[in-house]
Amino acid sequence: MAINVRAKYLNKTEEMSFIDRLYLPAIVKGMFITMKHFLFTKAYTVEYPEERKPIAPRFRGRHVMKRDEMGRERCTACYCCQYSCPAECINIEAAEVTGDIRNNHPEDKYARVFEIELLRCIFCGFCQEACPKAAIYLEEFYELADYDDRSKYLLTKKEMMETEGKPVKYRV
Amino acid sequence: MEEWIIDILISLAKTLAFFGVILLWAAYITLGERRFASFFQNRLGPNRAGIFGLLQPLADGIKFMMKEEIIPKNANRAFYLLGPTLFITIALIPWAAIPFGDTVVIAGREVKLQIVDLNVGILFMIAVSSIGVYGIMIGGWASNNKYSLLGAIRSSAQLISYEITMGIALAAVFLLSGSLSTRDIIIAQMQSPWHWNVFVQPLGFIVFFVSILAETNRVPFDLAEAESELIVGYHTEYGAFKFAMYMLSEYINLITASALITLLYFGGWGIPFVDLGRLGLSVNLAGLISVIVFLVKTGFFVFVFIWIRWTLPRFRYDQLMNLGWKILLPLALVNLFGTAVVALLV
Amino acid sequence: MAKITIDDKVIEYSGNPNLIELAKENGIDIPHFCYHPALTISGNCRMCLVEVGTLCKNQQTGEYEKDDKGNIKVNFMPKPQPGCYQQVSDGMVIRTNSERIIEARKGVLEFTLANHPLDCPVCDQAGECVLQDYSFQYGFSRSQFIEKKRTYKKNEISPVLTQEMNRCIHCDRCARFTTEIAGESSFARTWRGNKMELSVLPGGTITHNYQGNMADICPVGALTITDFRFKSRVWFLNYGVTLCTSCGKGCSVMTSHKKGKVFRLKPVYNEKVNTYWMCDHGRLRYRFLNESRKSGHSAGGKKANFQSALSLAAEILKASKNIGVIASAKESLETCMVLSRFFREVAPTAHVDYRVDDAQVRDDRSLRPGELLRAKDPYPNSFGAREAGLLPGQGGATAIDILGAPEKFDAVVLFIDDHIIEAGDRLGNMSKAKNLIVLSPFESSLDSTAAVSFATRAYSETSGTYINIDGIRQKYCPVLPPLGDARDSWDILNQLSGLMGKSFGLDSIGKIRSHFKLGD
Ligand code: SF4
Ligand code: SF4
Ligand code: SF4
Ligand code: FES
Repeated sequence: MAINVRAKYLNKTEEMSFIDRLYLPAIVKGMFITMKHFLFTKAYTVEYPEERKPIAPRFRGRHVMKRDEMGRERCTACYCCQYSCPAECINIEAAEVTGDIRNNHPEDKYARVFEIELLRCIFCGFCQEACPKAAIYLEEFYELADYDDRSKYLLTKKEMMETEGKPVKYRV
Repeated sequence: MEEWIIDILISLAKTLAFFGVILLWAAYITLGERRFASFFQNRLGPNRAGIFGLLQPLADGIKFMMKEEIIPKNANRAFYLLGPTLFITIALIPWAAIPFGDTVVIAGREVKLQIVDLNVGILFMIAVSSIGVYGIMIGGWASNNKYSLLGAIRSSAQLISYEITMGIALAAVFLLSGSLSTRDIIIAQMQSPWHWNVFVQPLGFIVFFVSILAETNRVPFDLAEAESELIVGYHTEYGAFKFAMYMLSEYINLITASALITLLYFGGWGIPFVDLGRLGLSVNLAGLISVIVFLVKTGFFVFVFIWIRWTLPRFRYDQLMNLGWKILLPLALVNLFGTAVVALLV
Repeated sequence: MAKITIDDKVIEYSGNPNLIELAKENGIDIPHFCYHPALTISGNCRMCLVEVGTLCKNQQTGEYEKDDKGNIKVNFMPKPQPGCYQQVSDGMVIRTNSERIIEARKGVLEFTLANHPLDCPVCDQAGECVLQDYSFQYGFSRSQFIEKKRTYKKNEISPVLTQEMNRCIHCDRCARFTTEIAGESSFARTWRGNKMELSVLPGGTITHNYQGNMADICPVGALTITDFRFKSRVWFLNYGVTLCTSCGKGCSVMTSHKKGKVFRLKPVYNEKVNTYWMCDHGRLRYRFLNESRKSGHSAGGKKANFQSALSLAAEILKASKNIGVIASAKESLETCMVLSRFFREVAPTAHVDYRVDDAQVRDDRSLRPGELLRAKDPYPNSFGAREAGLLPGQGGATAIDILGAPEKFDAVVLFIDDHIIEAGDRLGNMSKAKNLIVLSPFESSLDSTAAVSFATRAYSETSGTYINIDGIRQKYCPVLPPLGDARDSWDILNQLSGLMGKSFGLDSIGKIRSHFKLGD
């Protein structure tokens, strides 16, 4: 067997010696072990707001909507993300691209309304996976907690959309 | 000014100063315990309030005071409130007899650094602290909660059992020093470190130490609180400032225990191999040094208590009772008997 | 009986069937783009390729040749043949899923997709697109076509249709439909080969009333209905089959609806009535099912619960001698039957009529000139109403009379429907009526002046029977849940009959059908 069994089987019938039963040596030994930790081991604590653990490359944080290389919104309101979302938290309203927004959108259709209810979202990343236009990504921002205003959790397109040439502003 | 007025004023000042120091100290032990616990566990502990978290006790205090005072609907209101009050009062009283240091001279008077030097000081302390169990019992019973009640019952049984061993272990010390006054006991150990009772009475010390661990409800004898079985035992139903009172009193008891160990077994304010009197220092400076020495020693034992807490697991209740009645009590008796024989022969 | 073997399945047939149809009837799907059962065969898409073989007959002996295992040998044609115009003949052997065919289909699809944009996220056809389905089933996911695809601008070729030439696969169904079914020559293929465009011919416009069908038969999203553009992805929609009520023909239609709102109508194949088609007029009139719908009853302009409205109506009808009734031929045959009986037995009056439209007065069963389906009569059940006897009795006033001078009657019972609201001026005089009782699925200005106004269910929310201009009876079932407290008209009448002391006891559509012997 390849499994390395490290358990030690004690003979239960064996009597403990007098020293063992005194417990004092064992206690002293224990005290030294804890003291070793006290004195010599560095704390593992990550002091959060100042220090942060690195996040995994495939981390799924808050949603970001991308623009293409010409600065146009990638999303064409195809509803694939809405359809695949298991929490049903995406709300899209499509509209025809007309007039002066024409150079902001590569296709004829765009999402006039694109909202995500963050409180219902389970950050599964299905939307990202479903998107045929590579428009929506779950990126590294994860500090979403707030204590007073729930309306902040209705993520609108404006908040998610990358501004041209600049990375997205993360604060909800 | 008449003599007695000055006496009273000095006593009053000493009392206030003592209580201030004790309460402050207890508050900082809460911080110390948490930070030391973290170090034992390779964490950092509370370090956000002030540098090194030094304002944490203040923050805790404010929090305790701001919290809503809740009294359970079915609790016995009067007793429910009496419990913590009694407990903290009784926890503070023994300090009347504990000497912090030698004497100082203020305004041409010799002032002992002790509120009163009773000739039965130790007896007084033990007597008072054994009333402390009422604070627990009343609080636990009045909460009308089964966990509280169980905790209180366990606690009282435990305190009563271990008081006996503790008393007998102490009797041997009295036998050697020939006095019940705290000051006298310390002075009896002054000659050299080898006269410290811990070396004279090693068995007695072990018995006393274990008993006092149990008396203060500390791990491994914290059966009254046993979070895993009883939530937190007798003060399950207490919140806000009432909880703070219980907690503070426990830490005061911890300091009391450390102070007792220091003065009974480790020579009080004596510095090993140094005789303060012969160094030619002024009386006040020597008094100050003696206070510092006493505080350092006591502090060390507080640390030892904390160290033990984060090392050992909790006893089972039957193990606790076995240990108390079947092992420690005979050992204490043997110790007393031996000491008596030796004292008689020498 | 002649026999043919398709994929090892021996099929008997008679006559001269189309191979694709014959296979479909027997559960074998031959993929196709350009073939449409109602259009002439064009054979230009080559998606329907099959292998065609004949049994091997020895010329000399006239015997079938057999192989080692004793099976008759088959001679297959050297190249796959398009299935859509394959003449079926006795003894033919067809293979629709041999390796060659699968390979051939892949090739055809790759050619088809060469110029087709990857437009599915934007395209309204996605989800019901034949090309999409076939690509999933038979195609592969990469293309060797690295050249630039041909591109065109979006083009609104008529008020009904939007054309995205990018997506066209040149199947020619739309042009064939225009000439063969709609009988117009306004829309056809122009240019040739790769550059072929389906376009409105220069100087012409598409004017026929059946343009929506061009979008329906377009296998891809090249032709879509402007009205439905970007409204919803089709996979969010629910479907229900019912009838179109916009004219006397009563075409079978499918509603696409979501959250109680209808998004579009599409024709459903019905051999006797509309085959594959429906007209644009009916197609775009789904809106009345969504707009200004009434969900609660009212009395004297104020909201009222059903029972109080009912007892008020019963009192009015009891007290009135001279009642005028304007029925509606949008109501089902069942309702008409109950209505007719009600005003014969419970509140007898001679002034009952359903004919608010000229075509109804003339009893006109003809189609509008130049139309394929749309009748002159705008009501779907005029003949049901006639059969139920909703006509004025001796000396009775006609509907037009009542509409003209409603104040002559002690009470007027008025059924309001979408058509009469659309016609606008008809109801102008009705506010003068004394004791007006309205039954309507729609809100109207009369709700405030009527003594009682009931909310009834629209036809999409109830079941019933219509008799169309050809005398064909068609049943329909509810496809949407009723709105609020709206009731069936027959239910209201039945309960009224109870309150007025002559209970019909017809409290379900089944009871009505059996009582009036309308079949089950
Ligand atoms: S991450 Fe998952 S739950 Fe959240 S919006 Fe995307 S698909 Fe929906
Ligand atoms: S984000 Fe992507 S998947 Fe969602 S609607 Fe836009 S294009 Fe479609
Ligand atoms: S528009 Fe549609 S129906 Fe017409 S030829 Fe193109 S693909 Fe075929
Ligand atoms: S369906 Fe046969 S060639 Fe198009």
